[in-house]
Amino acid sequence: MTAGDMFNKRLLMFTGKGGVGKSTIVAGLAVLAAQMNKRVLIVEIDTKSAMKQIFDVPYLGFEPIEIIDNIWAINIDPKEALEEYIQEHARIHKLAQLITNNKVLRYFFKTAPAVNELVTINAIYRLEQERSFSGPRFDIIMVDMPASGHALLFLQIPQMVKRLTKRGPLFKMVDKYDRLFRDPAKTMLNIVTLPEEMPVTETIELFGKLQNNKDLPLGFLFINGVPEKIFDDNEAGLLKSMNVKAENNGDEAISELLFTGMDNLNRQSRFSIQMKRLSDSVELESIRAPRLSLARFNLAGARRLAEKLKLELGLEGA
Amino acid sequence: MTLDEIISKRKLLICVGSGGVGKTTTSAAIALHAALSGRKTLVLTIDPARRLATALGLSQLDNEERRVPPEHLQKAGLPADAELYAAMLDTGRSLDALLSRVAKDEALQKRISENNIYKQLSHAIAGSQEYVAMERLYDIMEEGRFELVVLDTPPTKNALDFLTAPNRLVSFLDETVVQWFLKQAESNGLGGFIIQKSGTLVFKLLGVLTGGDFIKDLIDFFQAFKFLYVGFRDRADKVNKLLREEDTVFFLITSPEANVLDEAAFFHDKLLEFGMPLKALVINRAYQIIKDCPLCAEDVESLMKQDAIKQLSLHSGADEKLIKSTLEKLIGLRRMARQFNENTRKNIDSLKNRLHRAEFMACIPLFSEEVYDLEGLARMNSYLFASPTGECKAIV
Repeated sequence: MTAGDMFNKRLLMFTGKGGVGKSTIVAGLAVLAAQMNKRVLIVEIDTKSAMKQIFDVPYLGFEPIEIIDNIWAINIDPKEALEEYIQEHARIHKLAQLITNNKVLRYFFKTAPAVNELVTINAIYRLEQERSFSGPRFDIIMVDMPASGHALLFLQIPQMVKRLTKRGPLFKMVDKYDRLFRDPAKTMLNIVTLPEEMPVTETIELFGKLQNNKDLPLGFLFINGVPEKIFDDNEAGLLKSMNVKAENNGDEAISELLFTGMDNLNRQSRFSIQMKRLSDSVELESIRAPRLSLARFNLAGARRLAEKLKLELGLEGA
Repeated sequence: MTLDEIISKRKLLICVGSGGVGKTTTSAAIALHAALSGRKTLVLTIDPARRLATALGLSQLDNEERRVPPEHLQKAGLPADAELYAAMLDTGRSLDALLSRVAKDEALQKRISENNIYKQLSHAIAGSQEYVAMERLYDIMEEGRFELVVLDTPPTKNALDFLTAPNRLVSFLDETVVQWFLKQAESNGLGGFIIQKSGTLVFKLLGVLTGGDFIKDLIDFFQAFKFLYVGFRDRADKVNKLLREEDTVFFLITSPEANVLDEAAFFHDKLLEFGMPLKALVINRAYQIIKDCPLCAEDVESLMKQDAIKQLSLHSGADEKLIKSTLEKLIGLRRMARQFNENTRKNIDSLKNRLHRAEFMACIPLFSEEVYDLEGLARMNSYLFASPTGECKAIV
């Protein structure tokens, strides 16, 4: 698989453990794709929008807004998605209103399990189908998915609804979603992780579960927060031997001098262990993204990340 | 009020926060501290945290409450008689166990468990798993075998889902909704007479939209479930009450990145909105430890002239160029660490101004090794319980 393939898909989905930086990866990739003249739509799902912060826009809602050149964003609120869904599928407007105006049913839909997910998927499907007269309205739709467990559930909703309905218009409709999710020509599911114990464990488990769902097309493993290697091997060797001697001599002044360096080497070796665990168990091509500073991740950060991703993805010439 | 005082009167401590901020480790550290203060304590996790099991000297973490072996405590230089237990709230368990308890009648149980809707819901829907987990928490609290239970919750948005799961399940099985569906089913059975009534029309429209079987299954599901509604509502009310009791306290765990602190503020507001008592804010990886280092004040050139350095590097057979570049990087790293601490300080201060309701704030430094044993947990506690005032410890 080449990175170029990724930007030829219609639907790029990103999941991973909470806190691994899915949104920053999505923002970085969107900036990169936009630089390559793709029209990108970023989809967030019923959440406190990260894109609003990153791209510094006052509001993101159910209608796509162009946040910078070639990048649109939307934050799908299931309530609005539900209204849209009902109006879209009850062909006669009056009938749709009957359902949306029925108090009991409103309540039922608000609380019934899987309805939120289903109408959200419907909204994503509709966005994929949208055409302007020159072709699709968006070249690439990037979905910032919920965390691992919930993302799996989300992807399984169409099949669940198929089992529930067995036939009829709803069945036919979710079958279309299901086929989009499983179409390797159009869709790619990517995993984001951090090179740390818990996220790596969850990534390995998620990968296992996804393999049981064989027909979901998997893409890349994005490893976020890769620490910068400060000391080369010779320098690291010198540090270690100095440290041993300083400890043996009980030379505190030198130990203090070496402390931050040894701390850094520890972190580096911890990172190598996690990288090995990932490469041993997750058979996906990995893309490394550097650790970012503590300052707020914003458009400038996304541009910097896009530069790094461009190198990692081997797209310099593109 | 010290952190010890906040914890000592409580029976249930719930740790909430975004993903990746060290909630599980913090929960375990607090539980260890309580156990060491002589209280029989249980730490309940949500994630299958294998590393935590290893840290606690347990072969595995599952539904069963397992005691941390005395030898394991002893090996870490801790009193062997501390009563620390751990278990995982198994969210993977289906609704079946719950159903068999609530539905006493075997025929009813069978009817529900064979219903197509129930089958799909009990295994595929997050809400039902979370509901079962909350049920289990309630049972543990009811049994009263522990003086303190420390609960670790799933990340941000899910944690809120988790806490409100009982409510949502009951809402779905709300009497008004169930009655409406049952009534429509009945009047539809009467034929085309009442077709002009809007309810019936809506009902038929639903049938057309979803395919006939679905509505049939749903009606059947509701018919069977209406007998159980009271039981479910009762339990949900009790869980809700439990979360707001005097004996219950919430800790918000976070890390100092600006975006994560935003989520912490969101969480803070939500907890207040839900009337859940938030008492402390714990910031993990809040700063890098920088040792006092008189030597570091010197520039690289004069450092290299120091006898101690010359001596040490001589033995390693390193040339001057290598020594110089290594020293330069060492000094640079200290500068970076100081910059890091300055940034976190700024981030934490701006969060402080936004949160008024967390009475206590504790900062834990970034450790160079992941916390993987009891010593590691104890080391966290030496920071967590260090400040009597609830200010973040001075960041050097």
